[in-house]
Formats: sequence, structure tokens, C-alpha cells
Amino acid sequence: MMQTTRNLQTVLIANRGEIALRIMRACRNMGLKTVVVCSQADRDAAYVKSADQSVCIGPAAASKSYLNQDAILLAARLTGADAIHPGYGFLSERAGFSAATEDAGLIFIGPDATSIATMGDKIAAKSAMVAAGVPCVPGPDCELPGEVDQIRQIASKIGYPVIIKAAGGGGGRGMRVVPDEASLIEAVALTREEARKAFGSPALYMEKFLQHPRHIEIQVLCDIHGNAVWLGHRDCSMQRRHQKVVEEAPAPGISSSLIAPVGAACVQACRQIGYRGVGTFEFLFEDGAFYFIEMNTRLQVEHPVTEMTSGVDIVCQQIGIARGDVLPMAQDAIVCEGHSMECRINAEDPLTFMPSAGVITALELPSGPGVRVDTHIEVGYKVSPYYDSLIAKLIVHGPDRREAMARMRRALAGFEVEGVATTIPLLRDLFQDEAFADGETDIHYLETWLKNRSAA
Amino acid sequence: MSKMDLSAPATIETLTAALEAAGVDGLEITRPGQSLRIVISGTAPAHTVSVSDTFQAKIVKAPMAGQFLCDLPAVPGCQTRKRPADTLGFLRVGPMLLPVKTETAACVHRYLVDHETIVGFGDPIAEITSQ
Repeated sequence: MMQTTRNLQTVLIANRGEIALRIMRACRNMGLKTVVVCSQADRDAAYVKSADQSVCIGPAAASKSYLNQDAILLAARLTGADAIHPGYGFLSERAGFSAATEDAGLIFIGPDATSIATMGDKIAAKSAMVAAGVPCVPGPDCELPGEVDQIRQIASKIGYPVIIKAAGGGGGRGMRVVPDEASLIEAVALTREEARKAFGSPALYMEKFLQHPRHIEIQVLCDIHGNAVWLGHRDCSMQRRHQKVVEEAPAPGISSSLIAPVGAACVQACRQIGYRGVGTFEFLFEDGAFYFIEMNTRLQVEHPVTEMTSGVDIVCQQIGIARGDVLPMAQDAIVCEGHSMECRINAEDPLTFMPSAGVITALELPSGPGVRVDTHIEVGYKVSPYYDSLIAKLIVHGPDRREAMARMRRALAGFEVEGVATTIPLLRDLFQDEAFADGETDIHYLETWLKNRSAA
Repeated sequence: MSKMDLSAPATIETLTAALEAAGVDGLEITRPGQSLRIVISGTAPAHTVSVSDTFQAKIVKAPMAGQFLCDLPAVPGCQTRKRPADTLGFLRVGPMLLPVKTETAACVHRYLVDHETIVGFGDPIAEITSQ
């Protein structure tokens, strides 16, 4: 039976920093009130005070504040919020939090607990994608057996090099590359033990290891009425230690005819698993083929590049979907135009990447046509050592990639932050790199570039 | 010499927050006529600080977010005596009431928030005078 639209007046934002402000902006655009929860470290931040209401829920340590599910639910009850938006990170992909929010009679602005749990288990996710016809990395969509001979047979069938992954892992953790049969069994044993300790489950799976892939993503939006669309693709290959540094949309050099069937398969997969909300399918792309790696069941840090090209406010749509709204657009109405790029600005030393905490003493933000800055910082803001070092996202849009890069160079040149070290100097250098300007660099490019840079 | 009033709740709150942020357990400032000793309690239900001036005062902070309900109206002249673990008031969240208690024998000097005010974790709730 079709669910009706739910009453939604006030959204509690269970996150901090730039994404809390971004969600607040979307809520205001929709005429919704906002409650922001914060830790003691953030209670004096201007973005916290700009919410309709704020509640300090615990000390600075995230485990006692932003990861404290009970404190957040109590704050929602206390303030009369109807819904909780988890943002990204923290509790955003905890199936238990989604379930507890709904059990408390509140709207969780995200997928239901079952979808989060399915996609959080990499084996179950791969199995669901195979069933939906989404292209996956060669390898069985089931748990690796314990029997040594069977493990050898599977690896041999896939072909070396292979990669062993923890079923409950993600973000680059709990995985090991195996170049040949000689090191296979030891690698499986080590990874199994790591998985047991880090993720609470020893379950592993094995896949073909792609040597020079790019990281390509497809953004989807799905309502509860069976409507789903994909909003184009992103390239997030510019990574350091599995953390994205620069993202862009669309992915350079990938034609519409190549990506369209993959996008359609993603949408089909969402329908098959009854997915609701925003989601991102992550793929490795090598030699003209896509290989599904995982689905993120939340808003992504890099969602703005898709917003800039598609013209769709993804956060507003996400909230509308949670309320029970019907998606206001069909697939054929989605037209992605121009090119967008995003730089993550982190409070880190641009050479050593050591986090830098302190007070912002001077700030100049770039502006102009096609330039967007998502940030919560201002002069006097104290960059806390307790949390992720992301302090701003610089996003540009241009008619094509060349113009977008030129705009990013100009915007980076005009972006000044004093009081803490930032990665802006690194990004300025990176945007002068010829190979990056040419496009289609793989996920190892930045690491190699950094190594050469420090050696020079 | 600083003219800072060590008995001012705002001063004590600022110093307490700075200590907590720095992970420091305590602080003691002594000067003619005033001394201030702040001890950050890791396990107590509420953080307290003490000021030695003409009286021994402690600030009781909210141990969680909630709607504060005064146990009694603010009483001038230190009339409301409390034994250790006596209830100063409650924090209400929905149907739940969490008592806010004193750690030592004390009397309520003044409440720092109004009855039914929504407070956050660590907000100063009351100033009590140690006995």
C-alpha cells in the first residue's frame, strides 16, 4: 500500500560543520525549521547559532556527542523535531540509527535500516547488484570459504592479482592485494583477523584486483512510490590514502552511450531492493568497463558537483523523499550541462598532511559566476582537533572542463585562510599539473604525483 | 593584576570549558580576597566548581540536554538547604525525568536558568553554596 506524505515541520541535523549548514540551507528553502545538535567544542560556532534551535548534547569527543544515538534521539524529542538528517559520516550509515529513529516515531532522512544493512555488507550488496544486472568486479558474490584448496581454486579462476576484502569493511580499510599464489593463504589469514577485530565479522570475499582503475560514481534519487532517477556521473579518482581530494562531474572521456546502460542498471537495482532516498553507486572503471564496488546509502561530500551540472538540489529532494513526496522529475527530464569540479579544503599542512587546529584569523572566500563555497568557517572560528579536518568545499562550474579548471585556478588563487594551515597551496599546484588537466588520471595518480613532488 | 571576578558564573564557565577542551583535570587561582579551585569531575553526574570568597559556591552543570524543572523556586539568602545527593531539580525529556543532584551538603544560592528552560549538556544550572 502506498505510504502517504508525512508531516514534517522541523528537521534535527545530527551532524556538524559545512554539511550541517548545507542541510540548514535546504530546510530553509523548503520552509522547514531546523534544530542543530552540537558538542561542547562546537557550541559557540556561528553555524550552530544560525539554526532555529540548537542543543548541546555532549562533550567534544564524537563518541559522546555526534555518535551518541540516544542523546540525539532525546534531543529530537526535547525540541519537537519530526525528522533527523544524519548528513554524512557519523551515524549516517548505521542501520540501527535509522531503525531507532523510525521506532521513535520520527522520520529518518535516509534509507530504511534494511537497505543500509544490505549495502553495508559488501557480499550482500554485490549479490544484490549481480541480481539487478549491475556490472561487478570478477569474483564470486559470496563469502570466501575457510578451506585452503577452495580459496586457491577461486583465486586461480579469477586470475592474479586478486584483492581480499572484509565484507564489513569500506573506505579503504580491511583489504589486501595478493600478487600471486605464494602469498595467498597468509594474506587471507591476516585480513580475516583484521576484519574480525575492526568490523566484528571475519567474513571475507575475493575479487579481481584492477591495477589502474578510475573511481566513477553514479548518483541516484529514489522515492517511496517506485520512481527513481540517476543524475549523471562523477569522477573521484584524485585520491590520497583512499580519501577524495578533488571530484568532478561528468567523468572526463566517458561517453553518454557508455554510461547510460550502467545508470539505468543502478536505477533498476534501486527499484529491485526497494531503495528510498539518495544513494551513490561507486565503480572502478578500467579499459572501458565498469565494475561495481559499493553503494553509499547517504549524501556524499561531493554531491555539489552533481547539483551544479544537473541543476537538482539533492538535499531538498532527499528531504522531500523522506516526507513521502513524489519525485518531481522523470529520467528524460534530467539534463546535465557543463562541467563542475570540487576541491576539498582541509585544515592540514599542505606538505605533511598533519591536521592543523587553531583560530581563523583572516578569511577571504572566492566568488563570481560559477563559483560556490560550502563552508561553516568565518573569522574567529576555532578549528577543532576533535573532528575531520574538512573546513570548506570549493565548487566551480563552467561550460566545459577546460573553463571549469580555469575557474578553479582563479578561485583557489583568491581563497585565503589565515590562522591554520590548509591544503589550498597543494590544490593550486595540482591544478597546474598537465596530466590532470588532460583528464582521465587513475586512482593512483595523486599518490605518485605527491611522491614525485616531495622528492623534487 | 587582572580585575576578573572569580566568583562570576560566566568566568567560571569559560575557565571550565577551557580546561575541558584542553583535557586538564583542574585549576587553582589564589589572590588576595579570592581563590578559585575548579576540579573537572569525569564520573560525577554533574560538573562542579568551587569559589572561595565570602562563601563556598559551586556551579552545577546539566549532565545532559533536557528541559530544566526547578525543584524549588530560587530562594534568596541561602535558605534552601540540601543534603548530599538531594535533588536540585529535574531534566525532562518527553516522559522521562532525570534528577539533578548535589554532590555535597549545600544550599541553593540561585538558579542560573529559569524553570522549564531547555538546557544543553554542560549548561550551568544552579549555584549552590557548600556547607
